[in-house]
Amino acid sequence: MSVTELQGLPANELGFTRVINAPRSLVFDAWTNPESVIKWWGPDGFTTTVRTINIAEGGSWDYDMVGPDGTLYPNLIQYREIEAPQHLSYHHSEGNVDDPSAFDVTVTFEEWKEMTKITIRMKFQSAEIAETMREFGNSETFDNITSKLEDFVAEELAGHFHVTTRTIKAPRQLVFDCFTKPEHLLKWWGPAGMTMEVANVDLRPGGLYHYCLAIPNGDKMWGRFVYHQIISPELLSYFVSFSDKAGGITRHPMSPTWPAEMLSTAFFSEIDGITTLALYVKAHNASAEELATFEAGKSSMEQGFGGTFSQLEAYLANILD
Amino acid sequence: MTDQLSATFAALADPTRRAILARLSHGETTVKDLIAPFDLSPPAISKHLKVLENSGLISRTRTAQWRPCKLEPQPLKEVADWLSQYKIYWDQQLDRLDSYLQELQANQAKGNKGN
Repeated sequence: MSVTELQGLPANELGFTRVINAPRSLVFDAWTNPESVIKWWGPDGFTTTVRTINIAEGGSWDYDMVGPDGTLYPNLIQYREIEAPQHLSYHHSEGNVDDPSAFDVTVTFEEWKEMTKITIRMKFQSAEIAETMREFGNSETFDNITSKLEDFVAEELAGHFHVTTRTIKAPRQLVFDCFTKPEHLLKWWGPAGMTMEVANVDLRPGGLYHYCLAIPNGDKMWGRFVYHQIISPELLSYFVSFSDKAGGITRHPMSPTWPAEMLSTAFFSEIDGITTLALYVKAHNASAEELATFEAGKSSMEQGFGGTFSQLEAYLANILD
Repeated sequence: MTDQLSATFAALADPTRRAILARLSHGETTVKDLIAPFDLSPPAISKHLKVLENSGLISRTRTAQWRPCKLEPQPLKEVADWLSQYKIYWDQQLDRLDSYLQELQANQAKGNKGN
């Protein structure tokens, strides 16, 4: 996708827009999560050296861009507004108070079908500086860094196992509510034919959903979700674990080297009243052995191995029915 | 970790071996046909096949002269089990969600008509 320059802006401003192929919540997270942003920020050939980073309203990111020849370019970003997942504004300078090249930036993130439209506006201290920046190749820089961002997000997603993607004939907000509102959740959640007791529903980031399944042989199996991100109606993520009565994390009862914690992420998008739900899962806080187990399972699942697994699926579906 | 699982992981860690397995998933193949898409010497391929055979991921017929290779699904089932169960679980859950939503919307439409 290509960069378009915004027209009709005041003479001291420059603005560009571009669509990138990734869900908005992930793009916003890549821009505002300190561990992520340092991995793709800056043009090709440049790296960043972080002094301090605190991405929050009133917080700042103090860093050097290191050029291909080793030259250091000091940068200070002071965050003003951070509204997940659609808006971000900050002041960008070289760190000194009366830096004439300092500028104000706003970035907006819009959902564009299942992709994200990023619009950036930079307000410089004069029309001359804006013109110099345009001639200096600001548009190419934006193209370059957003391409790196797109690659970063694609790589992040590739580290997840894609569980399933489903289209459902219902508006997105309603589908999302079915995952997050107890009055809906209890109507469809839980395997058919099993009794499910819900011990705790606390639908907020860090909150616990703790449940118990009564298995036909009389045993009880506990499970838990700890909610991570809730961005209504486009993203829901939570940490999944086996659990015990007390609500702690326990290991997989059959497979001791499976990661004890998995991060599960559901993306919801809507086109013409039809919701697409894509579900991904990845190992979380995993040891090297857990990661190896997950990777092996993931790659053997992803490669499909022809009919082998469709037989297995049919078999398992039979037992579970 | 059991020895069987360690052997499976070690075998799966290599992309060439995963590609060999993916090819074998379409059915029994001779070594000659198996080598065709890879830019590798026969001794290198033979080494990969030995690792796969030792880990129980493939078997090779001793009797036939052309010794066809065959995928053995059991070790792969073990490592894929959790994710495949998770996938089945979610597919079933989403079936239920879908029916619930269709019913809910049908009831809402009926309710609106009544008003």
